[in-house]
Amino acid sequence: MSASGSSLKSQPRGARTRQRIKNAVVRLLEEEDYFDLSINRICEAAKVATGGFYFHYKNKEEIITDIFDEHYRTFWTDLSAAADYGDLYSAIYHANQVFVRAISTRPGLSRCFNQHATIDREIVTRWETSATEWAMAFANAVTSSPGVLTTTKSEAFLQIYVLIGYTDALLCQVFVEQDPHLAAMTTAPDRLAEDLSILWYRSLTGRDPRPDRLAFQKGD
Amino acid sequence: MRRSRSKGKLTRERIKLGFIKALDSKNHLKITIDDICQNADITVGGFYFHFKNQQALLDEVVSDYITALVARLDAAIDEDDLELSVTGIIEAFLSTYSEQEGLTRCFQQLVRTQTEFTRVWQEQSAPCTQRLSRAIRRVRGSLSEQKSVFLAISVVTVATTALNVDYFMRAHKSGVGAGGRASIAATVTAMCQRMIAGGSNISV
Repeated sequence: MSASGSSLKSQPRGARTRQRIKNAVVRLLEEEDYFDLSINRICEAAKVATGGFYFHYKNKEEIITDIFDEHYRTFWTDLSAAADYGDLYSAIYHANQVFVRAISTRPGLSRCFNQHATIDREIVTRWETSATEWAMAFANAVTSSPGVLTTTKSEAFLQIYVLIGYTDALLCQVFVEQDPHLAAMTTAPDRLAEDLSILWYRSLTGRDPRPDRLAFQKGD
Repeated sequence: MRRSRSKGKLTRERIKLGFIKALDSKNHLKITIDDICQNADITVGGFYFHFKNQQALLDEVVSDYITALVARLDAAIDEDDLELSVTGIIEAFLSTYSEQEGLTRCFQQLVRTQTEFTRVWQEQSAPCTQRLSRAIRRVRGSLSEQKSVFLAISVVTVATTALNVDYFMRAHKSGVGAGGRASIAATVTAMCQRMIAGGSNISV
């Protein structure tokens, strides 16, 4: 779920039209509910003739599946770079930053994803598979980190799997469901990523990260 | 007169239970009036005597669920005992889930996708998160109100996530969390305790 739509240049024309349709839908989802979105509206926004649309896609469902595939592939790839960071806190912070950016820049897409997850078991399974792979890799990387409390990989996996679910659900409450009690959290995405990271770090080590690692918290 | 009214009430309850039972094996969007009538052992006409339509039934069942869950959370929180409160909240979520698995999953889906249910849940659970945040501030006096509310909401969010983990582990017959629900509860409770306690004077 990376920030902007892909570049239009350097692609064959058919692929370009497809990309334009996808970009238009992603944009429209920030203003409208997926289920209210008409094909006409999509064509208008993408500047594509209705005939051109149906050449590329059978229906709305096909586009959204395409969009989910693309965005979530990017999202999990970005997230997996976390394991390359040298120390535990940097890895955690990277992961939370990717999460915060994905959901805060595209809350409409996240809402649409959640709606689809309700009706399409396949989508949930795919998310769970990616989350499992990521959590396994991350657990493998962190169990050897100094300070991490658990020594077994399965326990580390369980904790990390819970933490991903927590971050995802909390960010949906902040940006998608807009819980009024969390409204103040929307103003500074990187700070929110730091707040979440501190909780991850505490949960895994029972300690706070070193103050010089933190950008926003200066202690009190 | 009174007898027939209480009989009507019983039928109404039976319809609700029939719906809840159907939720254990089907997504709420796929449940039909026939499924409900069969489970409740009533006629379609009987159903419509008690509920305008299936949406009205869903609204009532989920709102009953939220009321019961909030009451349980409220009972679990002791503002003078943070540790007990955290353990109690996680226990409340996990036991509600094990008693009414289908309904719990339905509730979670609705809260995340339908604004009306999101608002009802936010409003009704707010007093509980406020009480929990006060319990947190009694232990960590230097926290701002905003940060302690963030921590309180985090505990509740971790607790709801634990349900998905339990479901996931069983669905995948994974060896992880092999100790079952009790071991998941223990892990998640300890995680929350560490999140709240913090190790120094950082203001989260």
